[in-house]
Amino acid sequence: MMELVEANWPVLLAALLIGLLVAWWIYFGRRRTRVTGERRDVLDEGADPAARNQALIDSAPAAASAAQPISVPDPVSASALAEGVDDLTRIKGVGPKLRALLASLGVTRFEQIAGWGDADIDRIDAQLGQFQGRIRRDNWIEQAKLLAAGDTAGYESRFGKL
Amino acid sequence: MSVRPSLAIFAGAVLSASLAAVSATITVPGLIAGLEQAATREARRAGAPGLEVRFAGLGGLASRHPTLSGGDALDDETRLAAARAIGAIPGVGGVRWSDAAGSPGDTAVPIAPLHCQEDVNALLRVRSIRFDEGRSRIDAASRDLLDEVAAALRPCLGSIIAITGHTDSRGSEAANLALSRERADAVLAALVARGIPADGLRARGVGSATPVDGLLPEDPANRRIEFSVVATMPLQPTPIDTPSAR
Amino acid sequence: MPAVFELVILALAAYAVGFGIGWAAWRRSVRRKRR
Repeated sequence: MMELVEANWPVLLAALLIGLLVAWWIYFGRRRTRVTGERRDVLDEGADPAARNQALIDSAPAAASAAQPISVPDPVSASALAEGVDDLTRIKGVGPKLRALLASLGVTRFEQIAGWGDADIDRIDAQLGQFQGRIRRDNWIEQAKLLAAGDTAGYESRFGKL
Repeated sequence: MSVRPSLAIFAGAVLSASLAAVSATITVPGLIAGLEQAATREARRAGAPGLEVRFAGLGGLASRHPTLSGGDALDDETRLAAARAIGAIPGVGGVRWSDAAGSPGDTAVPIAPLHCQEDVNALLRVRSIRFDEGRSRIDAASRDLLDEVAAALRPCLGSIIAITGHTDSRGSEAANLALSRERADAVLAALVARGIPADGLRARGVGSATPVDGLLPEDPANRRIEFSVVATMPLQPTPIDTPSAR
Repeated sequence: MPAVFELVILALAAYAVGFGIGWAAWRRSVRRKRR
């Protein structure tokens, strides 16, 4: 048998290499396409409703406090409303804490937010701490524009009930 | 690619097999031609010039395993020599005869004849190992005889040799049994002392149970030690391809 | 057995050995990643 092997060793070597190639193709060659093709995360699907829910949760205390007489834990809105400053909690995704933070940064009116450019967004975003990323995620610019213009119908058609 | 992996494996196997088949059609005829030449040369040298060697297998396809035919007129020894010579060519596989009965040949391991037993019996026919009267001590004069017995048994190492002690029927049978056993043991010890391995020897005593043919049981000539070969060398199993005479 | 069959079987055996080497390499790399 050894003479048979010696006389045909190129073919046997080729068979070995073919086996190696097939194994490489099966295990290593196909992985590329599988990994890069599915970039979409399954969590992306529920991102919009989740954002809207979060905004509703955040704005509920504001609605409650607006219905009742202005309570002591909310002095900022009382004094700010009196001075003609906007109630930023009307923006979906902004709650009392975030409003206070924005106020400390000097952001108190819808027009201010509506006029932000990319550089402004990055600047404010860097100061938001745990709320970082919300400006773009909840699209404050759009909301602020509509709220500054008082376009309730347009706002509700785009972002849901106020 | 949308190809299933099992399909790829199958395709690879088919590719390897077809490459091998193509290569075989190229290289095998040359190899077989060389083997045929060498085989005819070896057959002539072994004394069987008319032997026909066909290197063909299933369906007439070329094969490394030759079939020998045309050896009817030859004797077994020549057939065996020719088969062995052809089998010894490098590259040849299993040698078989076209008129074979199909069983593997057993001439590769010849059964050793019982020459040990005959040699020793020949020694003891003329002389006998003497013991003291009623005792199991070997007589001093028998020492040389024991040396010769050990020398005769030495080529049989590997076989099992039985040492049997016999007595005549005088006295009680129980005593005779015991005495014959002790004498056989004494001989065994003496042989071990002379270099025969003890695991090849078995000692036993049969008293007066088996007297010599043609003698009466009470004849004192029945007092003797007998050696017999109990087992021969164990047979090695021969592989089926071993070249043989049939 | 005809020489062709023997050679085909040898080639299939070499193919299986090659495939086994590739598979073993994959197992080693997977184990490294999971560690």
